[in-house]
Amino acid sequence: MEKIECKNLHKEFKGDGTSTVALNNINLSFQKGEFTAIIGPSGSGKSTLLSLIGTLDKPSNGTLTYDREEILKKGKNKIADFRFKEIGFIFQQFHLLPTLTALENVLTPLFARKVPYTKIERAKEVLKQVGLTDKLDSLPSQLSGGQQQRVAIARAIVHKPSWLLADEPTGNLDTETGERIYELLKELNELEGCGVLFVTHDPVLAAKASRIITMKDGVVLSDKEGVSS
Amino acid sequence: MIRFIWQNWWRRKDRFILLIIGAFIVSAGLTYLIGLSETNKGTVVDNLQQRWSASYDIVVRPKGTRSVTEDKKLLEPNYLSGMNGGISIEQYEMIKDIPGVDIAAPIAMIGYANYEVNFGEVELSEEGLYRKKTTVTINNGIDEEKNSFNSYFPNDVWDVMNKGPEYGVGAPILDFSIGGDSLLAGIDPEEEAKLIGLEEAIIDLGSSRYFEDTDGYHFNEERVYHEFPIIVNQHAYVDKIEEISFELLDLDITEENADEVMETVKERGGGSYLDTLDGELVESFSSSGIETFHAFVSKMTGVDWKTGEVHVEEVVELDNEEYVSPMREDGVTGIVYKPSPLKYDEISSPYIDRWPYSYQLLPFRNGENTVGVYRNKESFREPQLMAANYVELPRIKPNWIGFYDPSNLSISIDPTTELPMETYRPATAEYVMDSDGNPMNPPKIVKPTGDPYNFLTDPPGMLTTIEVAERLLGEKPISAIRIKVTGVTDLSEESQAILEKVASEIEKRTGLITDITLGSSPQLALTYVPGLNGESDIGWLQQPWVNIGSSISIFKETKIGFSGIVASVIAVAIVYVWASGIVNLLARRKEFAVLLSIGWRPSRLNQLLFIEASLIGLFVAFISWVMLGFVYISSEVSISFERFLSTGLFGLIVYLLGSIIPMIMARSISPYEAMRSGEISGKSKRLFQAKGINRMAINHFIGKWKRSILSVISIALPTALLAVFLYITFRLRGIMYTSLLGEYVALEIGPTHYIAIIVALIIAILTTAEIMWQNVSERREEISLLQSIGWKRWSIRRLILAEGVFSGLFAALIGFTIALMIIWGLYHAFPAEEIGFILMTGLIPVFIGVLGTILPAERAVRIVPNRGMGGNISNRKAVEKRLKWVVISTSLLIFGTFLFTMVRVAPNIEHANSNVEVEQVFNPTEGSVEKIDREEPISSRDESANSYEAPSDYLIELHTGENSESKGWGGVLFYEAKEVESSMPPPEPGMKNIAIEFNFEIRDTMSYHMRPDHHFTLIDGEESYHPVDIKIIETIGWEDEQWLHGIQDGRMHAVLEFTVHDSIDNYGLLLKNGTLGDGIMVKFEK
Ligand SMILES: Nc1ncnc2c1ncn2[C@@H]1O[C@H](COP(=O)(O)OP(=O)(O)O)[C@@H](O)[C@H]1O
Ligand SMILES: [Mg+2]
Repeated sequence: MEKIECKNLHKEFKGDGTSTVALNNINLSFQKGEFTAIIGPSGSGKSTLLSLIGTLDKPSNGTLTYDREEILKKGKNKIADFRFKEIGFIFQQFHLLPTLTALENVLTPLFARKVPYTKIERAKEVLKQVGLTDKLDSLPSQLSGGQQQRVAIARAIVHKPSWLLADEPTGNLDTETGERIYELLKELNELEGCGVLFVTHDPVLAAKASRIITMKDGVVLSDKEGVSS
Repeated sequence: MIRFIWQNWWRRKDRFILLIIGAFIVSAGLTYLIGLSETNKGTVVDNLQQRWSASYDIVVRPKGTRSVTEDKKLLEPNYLSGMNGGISIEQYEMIKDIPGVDIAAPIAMIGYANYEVNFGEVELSEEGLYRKKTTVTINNGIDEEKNSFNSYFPNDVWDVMNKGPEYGVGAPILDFSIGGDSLLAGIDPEEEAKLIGLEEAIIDLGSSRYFEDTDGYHFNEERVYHEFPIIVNQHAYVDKIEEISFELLDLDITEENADEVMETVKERGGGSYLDTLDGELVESFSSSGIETFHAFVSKMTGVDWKTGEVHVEEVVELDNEEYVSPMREDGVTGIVYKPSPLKYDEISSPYIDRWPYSYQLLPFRNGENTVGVYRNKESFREPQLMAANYVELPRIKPNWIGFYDPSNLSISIDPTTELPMETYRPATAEYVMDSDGNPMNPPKIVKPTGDPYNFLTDPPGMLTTIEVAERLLGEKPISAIRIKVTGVTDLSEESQAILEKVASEIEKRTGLITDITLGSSPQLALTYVPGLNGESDIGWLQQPWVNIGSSISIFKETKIGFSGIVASVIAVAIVYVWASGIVNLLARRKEFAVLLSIGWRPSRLNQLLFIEASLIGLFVAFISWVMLGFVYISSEVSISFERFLSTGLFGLIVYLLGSIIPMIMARSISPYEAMRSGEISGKSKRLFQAKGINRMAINHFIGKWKRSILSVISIALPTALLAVFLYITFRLRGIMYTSLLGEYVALEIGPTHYIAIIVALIIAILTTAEIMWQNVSERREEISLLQSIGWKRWSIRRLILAEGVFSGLFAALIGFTIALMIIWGLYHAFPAEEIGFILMTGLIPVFIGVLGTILPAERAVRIVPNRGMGGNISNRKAVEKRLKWVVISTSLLIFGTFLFTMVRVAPNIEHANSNVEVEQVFNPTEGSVEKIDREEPISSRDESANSYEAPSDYLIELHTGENSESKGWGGVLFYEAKEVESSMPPPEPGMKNIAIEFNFEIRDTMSYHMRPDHHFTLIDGEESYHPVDIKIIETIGWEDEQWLHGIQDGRMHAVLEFTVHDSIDNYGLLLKNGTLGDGIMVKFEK
């Protein structure tokens, strides 16, 4: 998948009589291989945008096309299949399954999926890639925050997605660790050629991206080239 | 996948243990309720249906044959045997034609036929005056009655011809002839065979057979007798011994001085003088009633009684001897007496709790015109003769064709619980109290005496056909017709409706009266039997009577009660499974969202949930099967394969059904939830401002109302049913406890119900715990916040517990409403009287709410600020190993306990059943007497006060010189007893007098039963004595010489006189009445 396009994207949350407009008229397109940072104050709709792009949620209005295909019109299982094929998610809270070891966590996306590679080998490979060869059998509770996030990244890339979506991946980490995670994402972007979309509060990190999108109150304030490109 | 699930369980051990406990309880509960007690339930209802089913559904009787006892819907046992005629053959034919009548079996009680057996003749060699002494000893179960009768005759010394009775001698009667009476009844062979299987009960002995069409009635014109076929009851019920002895009188009489001697005899009083003379035994012969009957049978059949061999015995030969009385010629005999009913008068029972119904027998006073033996005497029934004149009495020649064994009839053969409605067995009666109200310990079984007008009816001993009955009795020979209706198979309202239709049709067409007997149950009634002809009264008999049609409603209640309980347990189990499934889902919601966001298909989540449910379900099934199997092997409970299979499958199904709701809920999980941090459902509703702990708890309770409802329902359901069940039990006890049926139901069903409720309540505790656990987990941030702002642990605990209390209160409210609704629905009654205990059951939910919350609350207070839930997920080897052991041993412990209880409980269920059976076969009513005793402490105390059992522990024990004050009873009563000089005249040798003076003073406001003659006994080891004399010196507040009232400062000062064996040195004076528990014992020791 080469290109994601958002047209007139609109997202509204309704509940208890009130309604919050999280995204308003977003028009963006993303190319595979881009390294995009999304910044903006809290509540500006970054996560919402990311979840729409990652097919975790559906827009209230507007269209999202993936190589011209409107995946969101399909059934839930089809969407899930699409997610499996194309998208890897990284969360601010890591969201590892507490009852599974690092290796098992990395394996979860491959569960009951047919893949052309050996699952265990692949999982070990990606864990090696994120530098965690010695922590395969550790439970998340036995890992530091940075290590947990690296497991989460391994999990996000184990199924070789074309896109990596990261919602404040460094938010819960100290600057130094955050930096390293950032480097890891950058490396993945360069080595695997997958498109990376990441939300961050850290202007220093954002500045390093090839494209920087600034949001506020559900609208895109600016969309400009970063330093690295 | 399974590995994934397993990891998820295994690494959350606390939750896992909860899950396993739940699975164990559910499986144990189901095993017990479905696997084991379902059997039990089956047997209760089936047993009742079979055991107490009469062979007939409707009984038709002539008008005016209803006794006073039927006002209370009570029939005396074997009421059929006391009836005589009233229904014509024509009416019988009419009834047979009524649609729906399947069997119509008439019975005609004809009368008592004599039979006599000649056992031979005495051989007298010496001349002289002889005495023939006939002694009849009859044991009626209460005591032995001995009657002897002397006759005198001369042998070869004096000619008795033309001599008057004043000489006291008569013609020689040398035979040993012994006879008896047997009730002859007419039946319709075909219908009787259909109704009770009479044909099958025919004994295969010699030529013994059932009636055939060719068996006809014949009237011998020439010698004037009725000749007809009979079949004979194999059993003789009368316990009697008849002894005939011949004695040579010690009187010097020869042919020469005979006239002289006989004149002296005459002068000295004839027979009464001869009675005083000693005699030398020449020959004697005795035969019991049974032997006589068997000899009679042998004579009739020419077949040996036991071996069945054809024999030619002396008896038969001797029968051909020249001396034959006219009545006995060629087996011709007569019928003198007709059966007649007993007359009762209703009286109030002396022990109303035990015997709600009590009657008094009204003896019949015979006048001048009555036949010989009864003339101017009293009898229990009115004697009725077959004919007014002796010569008109029918002469009969019954031709034996067969024997029947009544125990092989297809009628209920259960003496305790049998419905005494069939005529084929003597009515059972137990002598339970003498006329003074002293209980018999143990009660004596009363036996029939063979007297046609005794209070116990004999079953018919000979059966012939209705045709014969008509010839002998005339136009209306039938006394009752027993009807079996097509389509009536069980106790149900439909059956009742069918029967009512048929019954009213019979009444309409024939004008006879009908009673529906289906659903009747035995009812113990107490009958007071007076003494006849000035003799002292006999006392109180306990007999199972027939309580007509009382069972149907009870069956309904029982069935509803039981299936309701089982249903509720199952409902609670399902609610629990749902609750735990939902809680499980809530706890893992975010996890699931993450799984979705990383590309899991939603269907995979459902699959996961389903497999999880199946695994626990299979586990439950497996546990159930293991338990059942273990119970099966270790006790003799038989479990049908289907039941075995279904018990396990049921558990599986409950869990699979339980996975449906979480599966539906899982569909609504959006992968987007993974993106959101913090609380999942931020939308809890708030009604009150969060001021104070209780307010906060209420807010939370209402905020999470959906899950709160789950826990409320799971608590409310069993509570409501508990209340309803208690109500039904109380009702059953109140209304029916004194009936055998009520007792049976109460005994059989109670424990199972309670266990079911306990299981349900435990499950409810678990449900609450699960839900509260989840609540606590979700609020861990809130709680750690509260802790960090300085809340004390106790406050946090209270916050969580308060929520449990609210669940409980809510559940109580709902449970109470449901209970009232059910009670209203069942009885259309508001349980005003029982409202107290129904409200009391409201405490249980609160208790359960709290109990279910304790664990989560403890968990809450252990939440350390800023530390996540990750604390209990560990992978360190040592911890892992230790926890493994903890889990394994916990599971084993739980499993073992359950297995143990099951094994213990299961045989008990069976015992409860078999006990009843065994009891019924061997020991009729004793069991039930004891059973009632336990329920009736007062009367049992009364009873043991009079029984001679070795004294054990007493309420108060005093020694010579002590009084109640020295034992700390001074505030309640004052009692002292001391030995004084007896003022009685010296007793007979070997005995001595003891006088005891006592003071009894009530010091509070209690009333005491005080009858010195009854309540004081002098006890010496095994022996006990009642006072022979009482001198009241002073008494205050003694009402009716029975009750001493504390309010009136009741006191008694009296001297008791006892006459005891000389050898007694150490003895005790026991004061025991219904109000003093085990009594007060004063020990006198030398
Ligand atoms: N599920 C939801 N329900 C209601 N409002 C929501 C929901 N998710 C997001 N919002 C609202 O949408 C806006 C955008 O939120 P979000 O995309 O999370 O912002 P950001 O990630 O930039 O902090 C916020 O005002 C937030 O409150
Ligand atoms: Mg965000």
